[in-house]
Amino acid sequence: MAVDQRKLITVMKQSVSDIDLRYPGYHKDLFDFVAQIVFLEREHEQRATQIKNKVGDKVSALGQVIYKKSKDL
Amino acid sequence: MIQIHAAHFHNFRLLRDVKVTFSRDPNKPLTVIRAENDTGKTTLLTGLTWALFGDKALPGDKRSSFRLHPIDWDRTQSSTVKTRVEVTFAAVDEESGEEVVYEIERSSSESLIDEDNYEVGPTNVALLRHTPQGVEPVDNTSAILESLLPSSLKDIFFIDGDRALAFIEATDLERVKRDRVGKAVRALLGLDLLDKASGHVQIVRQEIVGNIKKLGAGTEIERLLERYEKLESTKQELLDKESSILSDLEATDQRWRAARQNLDEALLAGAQNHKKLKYDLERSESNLESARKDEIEKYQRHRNLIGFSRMLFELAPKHIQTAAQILGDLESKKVIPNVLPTVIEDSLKSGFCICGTELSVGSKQRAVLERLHEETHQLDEPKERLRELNESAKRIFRSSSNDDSAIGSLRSSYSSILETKKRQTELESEVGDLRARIRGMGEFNLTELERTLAQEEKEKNRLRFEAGKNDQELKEVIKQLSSIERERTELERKVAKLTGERSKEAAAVDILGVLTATTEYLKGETIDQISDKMNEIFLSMIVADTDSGAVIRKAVLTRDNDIEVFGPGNRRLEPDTDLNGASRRALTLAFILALVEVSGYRAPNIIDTPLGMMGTEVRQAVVRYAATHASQLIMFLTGSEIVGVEDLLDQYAGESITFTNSAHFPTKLVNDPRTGRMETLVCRCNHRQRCELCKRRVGSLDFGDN
Ligand SMILES: [Zn+2]
Repeated sequence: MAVDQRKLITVMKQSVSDIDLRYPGYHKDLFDFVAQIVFLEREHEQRATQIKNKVGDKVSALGQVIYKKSKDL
Repeated sequence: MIQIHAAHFHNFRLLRDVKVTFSRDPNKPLTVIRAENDTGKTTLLTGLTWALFGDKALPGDKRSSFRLHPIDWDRTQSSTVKTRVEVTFAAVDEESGEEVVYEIERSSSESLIDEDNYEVGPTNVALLRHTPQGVEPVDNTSAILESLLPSSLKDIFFIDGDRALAFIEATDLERVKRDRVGKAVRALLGLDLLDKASGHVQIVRQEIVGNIKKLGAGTEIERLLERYEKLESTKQELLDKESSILSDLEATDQRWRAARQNLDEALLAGAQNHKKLKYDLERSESNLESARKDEIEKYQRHRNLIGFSRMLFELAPKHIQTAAQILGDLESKKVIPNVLPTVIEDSLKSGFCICGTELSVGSKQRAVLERLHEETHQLDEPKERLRELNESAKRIFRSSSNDDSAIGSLRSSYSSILETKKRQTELESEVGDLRARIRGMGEFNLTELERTLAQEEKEKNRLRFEAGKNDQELKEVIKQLSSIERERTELERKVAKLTGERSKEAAAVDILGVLTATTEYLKGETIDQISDKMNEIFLSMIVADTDSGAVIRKAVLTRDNDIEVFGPGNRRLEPDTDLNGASRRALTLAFILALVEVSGYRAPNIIDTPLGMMGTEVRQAVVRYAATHASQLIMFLTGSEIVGVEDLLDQYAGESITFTNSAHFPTKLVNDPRTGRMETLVCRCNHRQRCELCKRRVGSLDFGDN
């Protein structure tokens, strides 16, 4: 609510770039998934959702991308 | 931006039926509720927070720990008390100015059992939204409320002046105090959203870690895999060795074949000579044998030629002729051979003589004959000699009639024997020669060829043994591999799953890293902003305080969530001991107002007794600052707090009301409200006005206290 969206995105992108690269293009994927999770949390604030499962799905999805991409390496 | 329009309380403790309207005028954002102690200020604050935030906003944090019904409720009228608070508020989109009005109604009931005991009923909440079509209920009430008014903001926007001091006072452990400040900061920044996300990701991560542990934490699988890999590499080594041995074996076999061929060829070349020699030898040996046999036969014949009687005849022919004549005579006279004994024997056997005489046993004739038989027997030997001689004589004469010369035969026989002997000697020499030649043949280069062949043969055998051993090991390894192979599908499935889970954990860890880093960065940056703002507000508030203003130089919010105050020479002051009550309150307010301002979040600030213990100048500074910075400011002020700030209230207050407790008659009230019960009564008197209802006794106890 209080944190300016643009500011949040800037800081999140900076934080993402500090994470070790797991494969080329990982930072973009990681940022997308974190943003999706934050979006889900915001949605959950508006109306109660199965937030834990939804976050779990996102984590699994990113995990699968890591699994596939690192297997290809 | 959230704005509260109005609130209506029914049977909420002292507030039996109290309606309050709040100012929404941006130029006069202040609502002043003049209320002395024990007139329902704190109750109003609690009622508002209960309506907006629910049971957890009640003192004790839960419904059952806090009585709602009026303490002096008349059980005889009704044993069940229904409590209800209605609040009308608006969510205003600050960009578009669009306003959505909500009505929230929270209610509960309590059944009074006796003077001291009551039962608590459930709490119900209803949220309505105003639309052009009318008022409609909102689903998902708690979630919507949480998004409009996050419960974490309660302590920042709804401030009990005394309780707010907890932010700075050493009444709690340092950690608790910091935690309270930290929580306020995070809540205000909306970092709680990121915190919640972190919490959810953390839960997901725990589940993943659990899955990984369930899969054996890798150790068992890794060990099996390691074994499999090891066996695979051993198998490869053995296969390599096998192919190397087989290629060696093939090479050795080729060399062996070559050696054998060489030997065979050598043998074949040698054997053709050998065969001929052998044949010659055999023939010579056979000839030698024949020659020897021939000699033996010739000797035999020669010996026969040299017979006794013949020789005798050759040597004494006249004597033999005479003897032959005599012997012939004896034969013709039947002297020889001796036949008489045979005749006598026949007669004796038959019992009759040849003459016819009976020869009965014991007869004279028989006795004569028996004597004769005796006598003739005595002549047997000489007569036999004579007979032999007679026969010999007859043979000599017969043979000599056929042969010219016995001596000539002997001579020729003997020369034949000599010939044979000579032939034998020749043949013996021939055989000896052949044998020597055959023996000599084997010596030439066969030995070297045979040695080479034997060597290759040995190498072949060694390699075959090696190959066999290798094959044995290979079979063992393959056996072990195949036993693992059975588990392998399962194993690989597990490994894939494990790797998958590890990837998921990596994802969770990275997401958490991003969320935490983002939160920490924003928090740090924000804390610095709050710190600066707090310092600015605080210093502007206390500047007029001649005591504190001279002592306090700076207030700081550290990144560890400590609020620190510094005096001249950067000397650190203890808020508890080095600051007076006014400064402590000012510092608390400065912190809260700084939080609110930095957050950019615009909601009503509701402050209970903010100005207590402050000097007039400080109170003025606080009111001025709060009124000019808040979007909506609701202040509960006692009469003594109002003293000296009336002009400011004239300027900023869009709404002013006064609370009166009916029970304060006659001690503090001039007139009896005549309600017959203890309750808060509201009149529209502002900070300068008094009516019959709110008129208080001069010098009553509430004057001068906070
Ligand atoms: Zn009045």
